Amino acid sequence: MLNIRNVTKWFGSRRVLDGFSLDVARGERVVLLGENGCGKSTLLQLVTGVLDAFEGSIRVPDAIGYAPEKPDMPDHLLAGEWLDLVASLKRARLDDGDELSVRALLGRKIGALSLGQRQRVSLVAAFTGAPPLLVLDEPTNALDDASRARVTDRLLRSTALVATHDRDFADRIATRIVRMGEV
Amino acid sequence: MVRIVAATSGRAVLARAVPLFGAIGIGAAIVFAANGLRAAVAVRAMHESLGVRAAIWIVWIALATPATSAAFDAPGTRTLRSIARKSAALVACVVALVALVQAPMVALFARGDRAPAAVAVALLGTAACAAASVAWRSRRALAILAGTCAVVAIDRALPPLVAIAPAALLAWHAVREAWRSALEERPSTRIVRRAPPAIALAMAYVARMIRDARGRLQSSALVTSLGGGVLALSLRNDPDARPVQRALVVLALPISTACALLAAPAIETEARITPTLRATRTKPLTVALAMILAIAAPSTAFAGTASAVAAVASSAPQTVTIATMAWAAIIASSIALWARRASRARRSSTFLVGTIVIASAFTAAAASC
Repeated sequence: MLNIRNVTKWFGSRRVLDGFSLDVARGERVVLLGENGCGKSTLLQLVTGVLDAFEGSIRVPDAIGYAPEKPDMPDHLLAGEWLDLVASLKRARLDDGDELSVRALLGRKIGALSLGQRQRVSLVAAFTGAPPLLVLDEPTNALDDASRARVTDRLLRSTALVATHDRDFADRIATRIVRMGEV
Repeated sequence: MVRIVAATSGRAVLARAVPLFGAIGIGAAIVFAANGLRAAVAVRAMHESLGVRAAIWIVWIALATPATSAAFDAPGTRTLRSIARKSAALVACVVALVALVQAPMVALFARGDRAPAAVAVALLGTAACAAASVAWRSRRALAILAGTCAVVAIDRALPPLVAIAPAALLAWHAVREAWRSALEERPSTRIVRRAPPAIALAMAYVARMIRDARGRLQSSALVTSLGGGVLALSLRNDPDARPVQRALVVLALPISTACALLAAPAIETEARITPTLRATRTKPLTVALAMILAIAAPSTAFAGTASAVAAVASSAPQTVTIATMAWAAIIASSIALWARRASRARRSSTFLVGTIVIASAFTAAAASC
């Protein structure tokens, strides 16, 4: 499903990843743990194609559901417009279900949502089109307990690469935990 | 307090007011040229005719309100609100800031009338624009707007020195009310819908223009309308001498300016959602097409309307409108592609120089046909 081979990434003179390799098989949920600055988010951005200058090779499925640590949703759009836009870009249909209770938020501007509400909209956008691989960066940030439980349920039915500092959440969802060290 | 207001609201107001002032400056340079209209004549016409006065004030409030509203809802104002709750100094600073937006009207009255009239106009404009920016949320703002309209309507019955007192009172209360209710959430009409990727993306860019960059949208409409006015004058002299070619020559610069004004909000939105565009494997061609559609749709509509009105006013053939719309679409495509390229260079001067080159090239191309 996902093959990362000897990936090295530099930001100027700073090496963030050094020959990192990882395989994620179908049905696996790999959680990346590590201290701030160890390269978790950078690795996820390389996997999703957000960053593209690196050494090594990454093989990914055609469709990926990605939720960044800081959602990149424009403040001027309504939450429903953002989900429609993402569905259009993915050429997918929006899920009729409301597993993260975002229906009540669809008519509100993203700029007016709380951090937790934004995170829920961002996660629903990542789940849109039922992509074969989910790549989630700190998905439980700012979520309340009920939403956290729903995200956990959803992830238990998916193949995923997740970066988090939330040890309890990692233990619940992970089939494998990878510790990333400071480079 | 002055420095804090300048750094928060002031910066946001300036960002919206500068394009407006630029567009008005271009128009004023044409209308008030050496052999053109004199400021005193324009002001006298406003004093003598309620219709002229109402028309000019309505257009002005529509143009200046987006820049004014930035004083109340700019991101930094949240912190400012917590620092200076119910502060008279804060209201005074915001009144002064909003009065600066009235600079074009103040300049007109300072040249065409006397200083007290310019002061009264600055305060009435402040009251009207501040109240108009929150009129759909607050009944009190609506009442202040109505009161300001009443003062403008009676005009000559009030000598300027006497009018300053009620105008200052209205401006103070309008700014206080706008400050109080500006951050209340209001429902928005849905613009972006499920559609083919390029169209959905273009709708997201247009939504940004409509919701967050109304000043730019209005300025581009104004610039194109002025071009239409010049075209009408040109066609009126001789409607049959190559009207299509003259339309393309006259409108190349206004259309280029309008497109350039609309490019920034679209480019900013594209930059914001780049991670999603990459993660969803959106093709570069789709993204470029969306940018073209987003800039071409409003600019073509403005150009079509301006040329249609000019053609009707001068009894020229309507082929002028069709040709102008096609011309606008081509110019918009060039500006859109150039804006994307220049945004990668991260230098606004690169974009400006390119826009001037594009406008000159299209003007020269039309002239040589």
